[in-house]
Formats: sequence, C-alpha cells, structure tokens
Amino acid sequence: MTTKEIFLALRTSMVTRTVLAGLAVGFVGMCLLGRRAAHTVAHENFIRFTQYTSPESKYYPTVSEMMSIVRAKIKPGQILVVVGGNSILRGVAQTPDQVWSRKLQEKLGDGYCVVNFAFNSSLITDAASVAAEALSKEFPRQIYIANAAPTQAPTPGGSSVYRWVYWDAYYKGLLLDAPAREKKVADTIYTRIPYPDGHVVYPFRGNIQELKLAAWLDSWCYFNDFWNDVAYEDFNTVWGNLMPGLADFMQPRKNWRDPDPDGTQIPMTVRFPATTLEGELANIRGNSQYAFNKDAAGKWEIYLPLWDDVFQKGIQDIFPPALKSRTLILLSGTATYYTRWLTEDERYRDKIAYEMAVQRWKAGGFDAMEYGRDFAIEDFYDRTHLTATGALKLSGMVAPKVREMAQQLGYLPK
Amino acid sequence: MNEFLSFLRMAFEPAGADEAGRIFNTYWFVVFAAVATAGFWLLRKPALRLPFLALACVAFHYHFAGPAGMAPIIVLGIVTYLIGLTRSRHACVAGIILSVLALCFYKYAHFLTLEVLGQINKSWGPAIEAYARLKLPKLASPEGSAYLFVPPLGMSFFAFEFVHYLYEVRKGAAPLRNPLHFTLFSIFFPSLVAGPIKRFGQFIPSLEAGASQVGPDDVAIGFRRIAMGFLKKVVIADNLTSALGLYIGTYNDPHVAQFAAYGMATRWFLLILIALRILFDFSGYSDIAIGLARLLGIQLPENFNWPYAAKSIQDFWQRWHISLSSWIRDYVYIPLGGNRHGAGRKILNGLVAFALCGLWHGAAWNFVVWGLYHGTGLAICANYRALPGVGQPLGKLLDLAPKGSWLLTQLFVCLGWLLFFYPLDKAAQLAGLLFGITP
Repeated sequence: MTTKEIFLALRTSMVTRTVLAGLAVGFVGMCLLGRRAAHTVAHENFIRFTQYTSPESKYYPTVSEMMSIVRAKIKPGQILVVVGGNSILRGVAQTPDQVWSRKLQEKLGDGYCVVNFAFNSSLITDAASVAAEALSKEFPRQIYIANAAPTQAPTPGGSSVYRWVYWDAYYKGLLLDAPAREKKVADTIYTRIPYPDGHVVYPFRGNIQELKLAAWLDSWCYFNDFWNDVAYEDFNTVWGNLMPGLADFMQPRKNWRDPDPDGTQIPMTVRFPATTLEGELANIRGNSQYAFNKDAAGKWEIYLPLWDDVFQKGIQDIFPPALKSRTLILLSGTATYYTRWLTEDERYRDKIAYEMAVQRWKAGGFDAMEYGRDFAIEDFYDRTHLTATGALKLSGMVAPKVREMAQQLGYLPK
Repeated sequence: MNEFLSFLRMAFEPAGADEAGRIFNTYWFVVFAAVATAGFWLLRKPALRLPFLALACVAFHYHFAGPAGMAPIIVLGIVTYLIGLTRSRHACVAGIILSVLALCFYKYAHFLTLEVLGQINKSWGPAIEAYARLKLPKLASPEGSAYLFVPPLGMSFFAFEFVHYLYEVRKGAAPLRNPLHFTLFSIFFPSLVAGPIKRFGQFIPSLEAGASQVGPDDVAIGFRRIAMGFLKKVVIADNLTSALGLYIGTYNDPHVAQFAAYGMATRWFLLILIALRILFDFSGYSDIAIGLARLLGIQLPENFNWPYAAKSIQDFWQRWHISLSSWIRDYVYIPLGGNRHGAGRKILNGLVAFALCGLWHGAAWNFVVWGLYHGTGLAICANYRALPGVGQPLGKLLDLAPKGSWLLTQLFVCLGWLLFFYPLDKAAQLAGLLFGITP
C-alpha cells in the first residue's frame, strides 16, 4: 500500500466516521431542541386554534404546546377555565375579537384565565380535556367546559382525529391515574365487528397502534414539538389544501391570520339556504327521535336502552373521578330558524331530550346546562354555530355558571 | 411490562389498510428497521445474521401483508424454489407461466374481464366477475375496487423476480440451493414493496458480503440515502401531491375546467410539477430501499440516474426505473426477438414490450397507451435518421444542439405523464390546453 493509498483510506474512514458522528449528534441535538420547544411554543397572544394551527391543515398541537400556552397566559391566583368541544365552542363564524371565550373572559374578569382549546368536530374527551387534565396538578383550581349534542356519548381517549393528544399525554406521563378509563380505552381499541362470512374487523386497532407507537417514540424524542416549533416560528414544511396559496405555504404559521369570518356579515340566505332545510331538520330530529318512544296513550316515553346502555355507560369513566365535578357540559341548541319548522310534538320531544341529557350528565357526576332554545334567529350562523350576538349570549349564560361552580368546588372563599 | 407486551403484540399483528399503503412512512416500520438493523449489526457471525434477517423479513411481510397476503407468495415461492432445484427447462417454463398467471389473476382479472372482454360483449365481464365473487368470496376485493381479487402486497415485484429466477435457471444458471438465500431473495424487506427489482446473480453475493461485514462506509452511505429518500418522498413529493390535488384534482378526476382557467405559464408549470412529483415520489422510495439495504451491507441495483437529464428517449429509459426497464429488455424484448429480425419486427417487439411495461404500472388503458406512447417514441428516436430527406439533417441539427434534444425529450416525457396519471380523454384535453386548444 502506498502512502497515498494509506492517506486516502484514512481520509475515507475519517469522513465516514464524521458523517456517522454528525448523524448521531444531529439526532440527539434535534431531540433536545424538541424538548426545549415543548416548553416554549406558546403561540403569542393566543386566542384559539385556527384552521392553520389544527389538523385540518396538518398541524397537530401537542399537549406540551397547550400546557405552554396556559403557562404563558395564566397569572398567579387565577382560576383556569379550559374550553374544549367542537367548532361551536371554537367560535366558527366569529372573528378573533368576537370569539365567545374572549367574551367569557371579559365577563369573568381577572380572577379567571380562559383558554380556548376547542377544535372542529372534536369531542368532550378530545385535546382540551387532556390538556386540562395534564395541568390539573399544576393548576388544581380549574374548570373544563365542552359541548355535545344531547344523546352523544364521547369516545373514551378521544375521537379518531384528535386521539393523538391522549396518547401524547399518556406516554409523557401527564395523565392522572385512571385504571377504569384505561380499560375503557383498551376495550375501544379491540372493538371487534364480526361479519356473517366469518371475518372480523377491528375498526380502531390499526390506527391506534400507529398512534401509540408514535406517541411512545415522541415521549423520548419530542419530534412533534420540534417540528411544530419549526412550522409555527420559522417555516412551514407541510402543504395542506386549507393553506394560503402555493407561494406562501412555507411561511411560518404564526404569520397566517385567523381566517374565521364575521358570520353576521354573511346574508341569511347563504346561512340558512332553503335547499338544505329538509336535511337540517332531519339532523335536528335525530337528536331526539331514537331517545323516546310513544306509549299507548301517545305520550313520549323514555327509551331506556339508549339512555342506560349507550349514554349512561358511555359517559362513565371517560375522565378520572376527581375531574368530573369540575366539568361543565354545554348541550348545544339548534337554530330557532329550523326548530320552528318542527311540529309541536317534535319540539316537545326535542326539549325533553335536552332536559334528560342534562339530568343524565349530572347523574354521572358532571355539571351540565343547555343553551340556545331562547336565542334569536340571528344569534345563529347556521344550524348550530353562533354569530357574535349568539356568542355574547352564550358567554352571558356560562359566566355565572362558572362562578357558581368555582364556589361549589371551593375555589373561592365562602 | 404491560406496555412492552402491548408493543410485542402490536409487532405480530397485521397492519391496517392505511398503513400498508405507506409502509416506509409508518412508525411501525421505523421501529422495525431500527431493531432489525441493530440486531443484524450485533450478530457478528454470518451463520446467525442470515437467519435473523430472514426472520425479520417474515415479520415485516406478515405485518404489512397479513396471512392472506403472504399465503399466495409462500406457495408461489416454494413452487419456484423447487422448480429451480430440478433445473428442468420444461418445469421452469411452467413455473414462469404460473407466476405470470398469478400476476394476471390478482392484478389484471378486473381489467381483463371488464375492459378486454367487455370490448367483445358488455355483459360477459360483469357475469364472470359475479361468478368469481360467488365462488371465491375470500379472495374477492370489495365492490368498486380496481381489482377483482385482493392483490398480495408487492405481487408485481414477486412475479417479476420469480420469472427472472426461473428464466436464468432455464438458461443454465445455478439455482439457489440454500432455502435461506432464496427466502431472502424473495422477501428481502427493503425492496419488497417498491423494488428495485433484484437479480439473484447480483443479490446473493452482495447478501453474503453484508452478512460477513458491514463497514462504516455502508452505514454512512445507507443513512445518507435514507435521508435523501425521505426528503424526496415526504418533503417534496407528498407536498406536491397535496398541492396538485388542489390545483388539478385527483388522478381519476382532474379538473379540466380549472386547468383551463389558468394562464399558459401556470399550465406548463403544473406539468413540470407533475413530472417532479412522480420522480421524487418514486426515486425517494427507491433511495430509502437502497439505503436500508446498504445499512445491512447489501447493495441493491440503482433505479434512477438523473432521468430528466436524458437527451433522448433511449437515454431516458436507461435512467428511469432502471431495474424495470432492464427486466423488460431481458425478459420480454429480447425473448421476443429483440432487434434480430429486421426493423419492422424490432419496432413491433419494442411496442409490445412497452405496452407490457405500461400495463405493469396499473391495470387500465391509460397505462397501456402510456407504454405504447413511449414505445413509439423510442422507435422514432432510434430510426428517424433513416428517414429519407429529413432524417440526416435533423439528426445533425440535434447533434449540434444537444439542449434541443434534451428539450424535445423532456417535452415528450412530461406530456406522457398526463397519460400515466389521468384517464385518456382527460389527458388529451389537458395536453390540448397546454398548446392552447380548448376542449
């Protein structure tokens, strides 16, 4: 071997080892940056998650991120109010200035810190509830608010779209000890649907396995926090159909303005198109039609299999027992524009369904109230979402309830 | 402990349908590849490394294909292995026919019954499909699927590799006697899903070399290729797929009216994006496969070599999906007679080979037409200089202006992608719009 060959071999070997060492150092460095990001991505002046900071545009906020938002926002001595639920409570059709949770904050005053972690189509058990639970030791004086339809029992561990937050918190050790819930979540994973030809389908298994594995890896490497930090603060890396144009998609997400419009500016004919009337009425009827049967005298009679076997069992163990009493369930009413088309009989059935739901949630250890039945037509943007005026009314109803709960939970001096 | 058991259980459960469609992008795969690679490195003896790798490949195949997807491959693999051992020429031909029939059964039954037989009599296809679904309910795909029977994962690659193996054995190559070697040749996990299509004559020595020693060079090159592959696939191709979905629409339903509303420059820009998307998607996948194999010290054949730098159609096919084009050349074009029987036969052989190449990509007419389009392009490219009058001057002109050759080649290739991705009528409308012809 000549000197030149020896030199070349040494150089090759050094280059190779340097590349490998670089890979290892780079990987560990990114993990450390991810850990750091988990405590720093606080979304300055956070009002709510927008379509640019939610799964609709392939952005998946982590539980650490939500915890950072709260820590950045809350002042010492404040009672934490976490808003969860779906697009109604996220404030669709309300501009950032009109969002109902902002009005709630104004009405509650300085003694409370309201954060809105609602996402479109999310359930009571989704991201916001997980964030609240993860913060329950750090901020024990807390109230969790979420909404639901009257006969809707949430999936334990969250809905399929937002389930990652539960597993994120689970593997980072942020959830309270709740063996009954864990069993319920596991039962959901292994839900089996046998078909007549003999084959069996596990509708939730494959997806959850990947989610669990991802969350477990993330609990070591913090890659989700790392990439969220990069996408939010520095440059976006993932294209989504709901993003600004192709030319702007690499902009940091913090630069993209909250796009929700002012619903009151949209004409009533667009908000309540005649073509969808029958469909929307069917949706409203669906809230109560399977919950009651008519008896021989023509009186509505409660359909127990739904309320006892599905609803009551469904809401059992969705949260650790200690957190149920601090939870306020809002049963979202439907637009009076539509309910006036129902028959008197149907309107009555709708009313008792809501009353029954409130009663059942309360029996389950939660607090609950309905809203919307007495709202005006213009308070609704469509069948369920509220305009700025509806948002004001809702915050006006919820604020005293929150104060009452805070009193009952012992957060305030007697 | 419970968590460990839960993950262990997960490792031996078949994947969901969504996972099987994006294998290298799944967390399961990341963990699997880390465990398999680390295990391979830690076992220093070749006698231990190969069985370990084979077990890992079985676990991978089982997870993503499930028992129903594995069974036909196991049967086909055992038959191919045993036929190879006999070295009988007739048996090898029978084995080749069996592999081709299996491929046709799983991948082309729907196309053959509805699209081919349907040309003769429209009622035959549905009747045959209904009968097949009745008789073979466990193999049948759900109604509305592109396939009559659920194709096993990687079926096209298995069929091509088995055909190659038996063809070479028939020609006199020594068969693989070691069942471990044959198993690894068949279900080597990095190349199982999307190639490159391996040749056993190259693969087995490389496998043995990897089993003897994995050098730091292999590891560094492997990681670099994997990183490059993920960058191409996840960052570039996947983003382009989403963006193109918004700007042009899906493969089956391109929005021609939306495309027509764009200015001419935007239309051509979108065509370039289509071309870049397929390149980065496919070559990204190949890079990951090649890189993963290299982490084990095993070299897989290259699949792409700067195809958009090609200055002629022949040049393009020596750079694009190289393992497939060389397979088609060796096992379709040359056996058909290649260029041995005159210009007319050569062109015909090329067209048949390319039509099959197109059909390999998917069971639909647009793929066949895409193949014929390239076959025709190749025939023109190879023979245009012989055209009386214009051939020689045009050839000289293109020799003098290589950028012109490059431009013409890429124009041809990019327009071809419209045929590849979209139904024929829509592809023609989109192509027309690129030249200002409104449908």
